[in-house]
Amino acid sequence: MEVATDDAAMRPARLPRTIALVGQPNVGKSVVMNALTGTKAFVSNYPGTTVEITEGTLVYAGRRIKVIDTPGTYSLHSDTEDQRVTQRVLLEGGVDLIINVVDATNLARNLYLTLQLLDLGIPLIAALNQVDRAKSAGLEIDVKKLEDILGVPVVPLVATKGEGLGELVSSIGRGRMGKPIRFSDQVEEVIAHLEREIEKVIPEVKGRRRSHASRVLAIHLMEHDRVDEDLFEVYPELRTLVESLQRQVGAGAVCSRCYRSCAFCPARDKEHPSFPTCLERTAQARAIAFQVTSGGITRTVPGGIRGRTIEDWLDIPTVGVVVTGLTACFSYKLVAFVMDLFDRLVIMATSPLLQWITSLAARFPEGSFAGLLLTSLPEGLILPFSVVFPAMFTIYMLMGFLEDTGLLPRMAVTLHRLTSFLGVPGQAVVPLILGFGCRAPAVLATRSLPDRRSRFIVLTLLSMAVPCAASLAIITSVSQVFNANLLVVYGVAGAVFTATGLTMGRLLRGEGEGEGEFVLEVPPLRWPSLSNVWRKSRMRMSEFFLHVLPLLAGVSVVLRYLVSGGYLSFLSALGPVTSRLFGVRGEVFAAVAMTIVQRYLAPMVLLNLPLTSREATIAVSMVSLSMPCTPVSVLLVKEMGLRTALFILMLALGVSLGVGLVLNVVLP
Amino acid sequence: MWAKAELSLTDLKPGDTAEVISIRKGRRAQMRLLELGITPGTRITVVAAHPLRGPVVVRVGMLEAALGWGLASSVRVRRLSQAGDL
Ligand SMILES: Nc1nc2c(ncn2[C@@H]2O[C@H](COP(=O)(O)OP(=O)(O)OP(=O)(O)O)[C@@H](O)[C@H]2O)c(=O)[nH]1
Ligand SMILES: [Mg+2]
Repeated sequence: MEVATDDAAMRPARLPRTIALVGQPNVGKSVVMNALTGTKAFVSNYPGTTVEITEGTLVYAGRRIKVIDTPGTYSLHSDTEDQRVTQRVLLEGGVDLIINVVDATNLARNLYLTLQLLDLGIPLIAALNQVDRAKSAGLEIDVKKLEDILGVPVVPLVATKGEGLGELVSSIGRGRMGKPIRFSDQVEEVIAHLEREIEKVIPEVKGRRRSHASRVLAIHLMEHDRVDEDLFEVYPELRTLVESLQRQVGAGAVCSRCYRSCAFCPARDKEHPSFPTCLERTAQARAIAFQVTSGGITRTVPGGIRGRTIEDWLDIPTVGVVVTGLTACFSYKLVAFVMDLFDRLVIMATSPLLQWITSLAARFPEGSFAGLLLTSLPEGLILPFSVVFPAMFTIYMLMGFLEDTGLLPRMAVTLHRLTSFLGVPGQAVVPLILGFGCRAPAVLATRSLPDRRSRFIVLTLLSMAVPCAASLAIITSVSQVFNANLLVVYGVAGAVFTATGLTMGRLLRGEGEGEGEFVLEVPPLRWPSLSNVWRKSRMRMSEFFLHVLPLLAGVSVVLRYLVSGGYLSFLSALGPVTSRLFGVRGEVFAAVAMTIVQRYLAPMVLLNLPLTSREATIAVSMVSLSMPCTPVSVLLVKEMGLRTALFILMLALGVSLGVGLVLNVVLP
Repeated sequence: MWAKAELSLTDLKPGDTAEVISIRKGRRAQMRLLELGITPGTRITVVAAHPLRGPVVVRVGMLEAALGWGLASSVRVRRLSQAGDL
């Protein structure tokens, strides 16, 4: 957004250079981000949409200001990967204004984070968002009073309608450090003690060695009882301190909660509040919310039929199950229908053109490059447009609707009982469903899962047994061409998914707290905005034009060249081995092996070979279960480390070969 | 009469309102509930209890949250009102 301010006198003395949008999940940060900077951050109605930082530029008063959109974080001590991304941004410094986006309908809970942010000593503005929803719930918030209590500017917003954004922008020069809270005397004593310990190891306060006040670090240490590697990266000295404190705890010299002897200590861990700062902060946030809020009707759960909202209905478990089932059914039918429709349309529309091209190609001598290009290029273009494009687009539109209504988290709740057999909490449904679109963002979406074990399991399932839209489309169409048994192909994928999940869930049990800890915020239902769904689908489709289309077209030419030139005939030497093991010819196996490079290319190779229906069934099953495409493999390494990624990839390859072996024995 | 008895969250029926007394689970679980604003003293309303030890859905203010059965059973509550009381 560009705001003209010619009047130099009105220009605030000090404008921030870097602004971070920070707030709890699903409050509307990304909407604000897009409005401020024109970026295209994804906006969806479920917590955990943004899992990475997005950067943009706001031009204000002739200055270019960097704005960072961060993943939603409930607190600065929450420990899922996405939330830690935000904590790292704040820890590493470089942010000189925080715009804390606050959900007006959940003020008490949101202020918890605000109070934590005030401790950081970074200028802050609170953007009170979703006041439209607060109003319709009868909540009235006294903005002036809130400003007084927090000591920072508070700007009411309805981000989705653009209301208040102008005020927000013009107040960015007015960020304040605010009034951090004080805890009870006992807790303050503990903090002071830790502060002294910290100052001993890192003396300079504003110097190069420490950009945080010792108070923040002390509170940080109290609230993270796990060793916090992110903190130690910035302050290696603290590692030594924490280690020495923990040795003393081990020796029984000091208490494990406050690292010394405080007023609670005689009772040690039993009576000692395990996180006194957190509890007191909760109480203070609640008190502030209570002081500034008036009105509001407490919703009760109605017993009868009348008076139930759609939300109430969907909360009923049986309704949830039925809706989830119907959604899955409808999606499948719709995708199949659209694919079929496009297949006909595109073929119909292009057949005259194709005939002409074929006749043109016939004029060139056999084996000439022009002839080759003329025959293979259209093939490489028709498949993407008649099959892949419609499948991807339909799936993305469906996904957009699911994301924006708030149904996705409700499905997660409904399916939690089932997914817990796979050793993962219900939230796993979100990345798994996203995987049907494209696996790359799905891999990132696993960051919002609560523990590494669930991430590991979900990533394995995702890499191996969830076909992305492109693979799904090609697999389906190749199967149809060769009359392969789709039931076997899907059945095998489903069986592998279930078996892998069950096995991993069982084997890895106990490593995390898993099932017992399922906690998920269920967002309000919202009417999806068509423009947002459309925008997201379009953005996601860029994947098709950037990768899928060029690859399929290019490979189609290369393959035709290799096949017609007889360059692949050496593969038939493999024939005896592969047909004994997997019941397929050497060339077919080579196609399967291509999945290592790019999953959806493999079926393209198959298209160029004369296959029996049995061969096709086996080959397609093997292809649909193999490794994910290269970009996803790279992401796997980034997210989970080389060892885990390699394990997942090898497992996928192994399973694919195993499936070939088994099918060869089982199929008539 | 109800006001005295200490129950587990899983003992409540949809429509019941209760106050959280304590959370008898590890620090991590307590923290995750605290993030959603569920601490001792919080007033919650049960919205749904999924069958077969499925999740319990509760409402805290305007927020709705689902808790796995294991976690829900460790939340000790005092019932304030029962479904249909109003
Ligand atoms: N009614 C209303 N809805 C809003 C408002 N601002 C955002 N929303 C909706 O809130 C949902 C979440 O918006 P996002 O911008 O994705 O939220 P976020 O804070 O970036 O969420 P995470 O990335 O998950 O942390 C979307 O469905 C928005 O349409 C608002 O002012 N009023
Ligand atoms: Mg976001």
